[in-house]
Amino acid sequence: MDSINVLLVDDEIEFVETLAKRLNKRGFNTLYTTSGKDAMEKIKKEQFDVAVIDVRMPEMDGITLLGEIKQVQPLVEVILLTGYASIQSGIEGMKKGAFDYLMKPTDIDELIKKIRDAYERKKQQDEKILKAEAKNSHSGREQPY
Amino acid sequence: MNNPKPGYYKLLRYKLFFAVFLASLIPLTVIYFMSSSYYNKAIRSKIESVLINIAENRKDAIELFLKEKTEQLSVIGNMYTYDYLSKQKNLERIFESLQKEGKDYVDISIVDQHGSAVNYVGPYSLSGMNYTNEKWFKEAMVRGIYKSDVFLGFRRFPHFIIAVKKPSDGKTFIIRSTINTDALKSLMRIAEVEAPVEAFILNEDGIYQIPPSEGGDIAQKSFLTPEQPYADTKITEVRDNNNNSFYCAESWITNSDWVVVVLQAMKNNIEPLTGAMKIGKLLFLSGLLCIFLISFVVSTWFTNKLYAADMHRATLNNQLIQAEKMAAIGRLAAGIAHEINNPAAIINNESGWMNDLIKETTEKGTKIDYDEFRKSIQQIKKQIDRCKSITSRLLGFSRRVGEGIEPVHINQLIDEAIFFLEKEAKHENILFSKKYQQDLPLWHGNASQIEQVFLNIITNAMDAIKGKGEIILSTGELSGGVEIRIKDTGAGMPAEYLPRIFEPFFSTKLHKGGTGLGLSICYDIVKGFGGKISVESEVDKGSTFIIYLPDNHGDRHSGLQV
Repeated sequence: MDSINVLLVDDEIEFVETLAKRLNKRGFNTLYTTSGKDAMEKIKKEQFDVAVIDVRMPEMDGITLLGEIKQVQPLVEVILLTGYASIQSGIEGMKKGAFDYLMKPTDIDELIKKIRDAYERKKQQDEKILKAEAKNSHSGREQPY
Repeated sequence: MNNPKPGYYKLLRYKLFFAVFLASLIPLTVIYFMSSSYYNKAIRSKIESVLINIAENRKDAIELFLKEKTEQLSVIGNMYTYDYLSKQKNLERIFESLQKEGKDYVDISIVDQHGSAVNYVGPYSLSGMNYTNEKWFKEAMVRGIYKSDVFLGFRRFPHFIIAVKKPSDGKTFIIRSTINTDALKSLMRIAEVEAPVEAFILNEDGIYQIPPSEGGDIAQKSFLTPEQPYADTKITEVRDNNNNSFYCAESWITNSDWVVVVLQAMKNNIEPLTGAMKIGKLLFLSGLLCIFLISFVVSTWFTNKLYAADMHRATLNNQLIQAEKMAAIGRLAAGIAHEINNPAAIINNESGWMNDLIKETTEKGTKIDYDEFRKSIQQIKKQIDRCKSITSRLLGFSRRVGEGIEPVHINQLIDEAIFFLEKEAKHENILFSKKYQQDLPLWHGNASQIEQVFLNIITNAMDAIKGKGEIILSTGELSGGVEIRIKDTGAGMPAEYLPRIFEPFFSTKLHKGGTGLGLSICYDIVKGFGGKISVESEVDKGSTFIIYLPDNHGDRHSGLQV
């Protein structure tokens, strides 16, 4: 099984720390951070497959972070974590390109399933792009100068 | 909302009662007294005219009588000489002819210029009498005519003297006649027949010349002392020695020191007047009673209606406050849900992690990692405490819904209000700064209502801040009360909004779902505690709400930990 690179972003350190340990135990390659600003630094340095982001965060909220991540790594799939009162934000996030949203408290198996689904989609997107690139480079060779 | 103080409605009822009572009583009283006065004057004027008429009639009759007697004696003096009259037979014949016309003359005598009675006809033997030193003689010699006061004389019957001086062949003599007063009496009695009056004649000293038919004798002093002679008939009100009141008409007989007096007892006259006055009084008292009853009914009815309306309004206001509070709670609910969800998610995560550890130990047969296990347990405990703190604050908030007055720590109350907003503020990059007076006196009032004021103004302040901002909460003691300032660095308000922001349904956030009632309710609540609420604002710089809450029973507490 592929090792999926996951980025966890939540302002509650206790939450992300333990969640990262649990995901790592299940074979994920998880990094965590507690602010949008930090998350962007990590995104710029490393490749991630899936980002799990809390919607309500001080300074930079999850929706803004989603937009910024998509600008740097467009293929990273984003799963939003919302509270009951911010379901609307989850829906709004999906319109802006989030893969899905989950309500807190989250069941780990459900989260893992969503991460895997997201990863699958990312993989498909990657493959599509690779194919397109291959096709482009092939047709490029055919093209007479 | 604060209801009016006890006794307010009672006082209002009294005020209303007196207002209605006086407003109706004053015109009634004015009408009563004016009509009484006019009626009194009318009656009085009628009585006066009747009395004046009688007095003048009698005066004319008496004048005529006296003139007739004086003229008759004067004519004798003119027709006959002194010598003729000095003869007994001649004088007897003249006296007889006088007697034919009436029995008014008692006697007649001729007195020479030296005062000697040269001839006399009458019931006494007065011939040869010398009157040189008599008053009547002297006056008759000086004035030409003399009329005496009425006197009783030897035979104890009332009579008076008329003396007329006459010249005759170089000699001067006086014709003197004694006249009985029966005719005068009859003339005066006519007046008493005409009306229920007492008619009599007094001299200038108030001595009866002709006494009234009842009470009073000739030469006796009357209770009246006439004023100096005057031409017109005069009406006065007098009292006799028994304190009975009378209307008194006095008419002086021309060229005489006699005055005709006509008295009418007031009680006789007043009968129709008192009858009318009694009816008037009865009507007045009935009116008074009606006004009293109507005032009582109207004031009670009105006060009851007002009380019911006020109670209804108070209920509606309380419902409105409650509705606004629920709206505020609704807003807080999002923050609270997040607050509860986060520890719940951590607990969920930690328990899952513990489960993972057990599963790993079981599956792989390795030793359990107790440190990780302990860390998770501690974390779970920490998060449970976090939940407990939230729920207890929430309970405290929801419990305060009553209207009771209690000692309130204002600083603590503001802290509780912002606790529910802090998370949301943090996410919106809004910072709460506190500048509390640590030893702020306790304020006595309703914590729930004032907390609602704080919540409302603070959430407004949060709405006014776009992007990063600060809300400065300061408290201080002022004039025996507490002053709270809530300052934000938000958008501020144009000057034209400021006078209207406490009006009901005025809102700058209607399009965002504002009801326009929040600040109006805040205003009512603060006013209800006798306080003041005002705002200072500048566009793009922010607004400051200043709340002053007076307190007369505040005592200092030991300060708050903030």
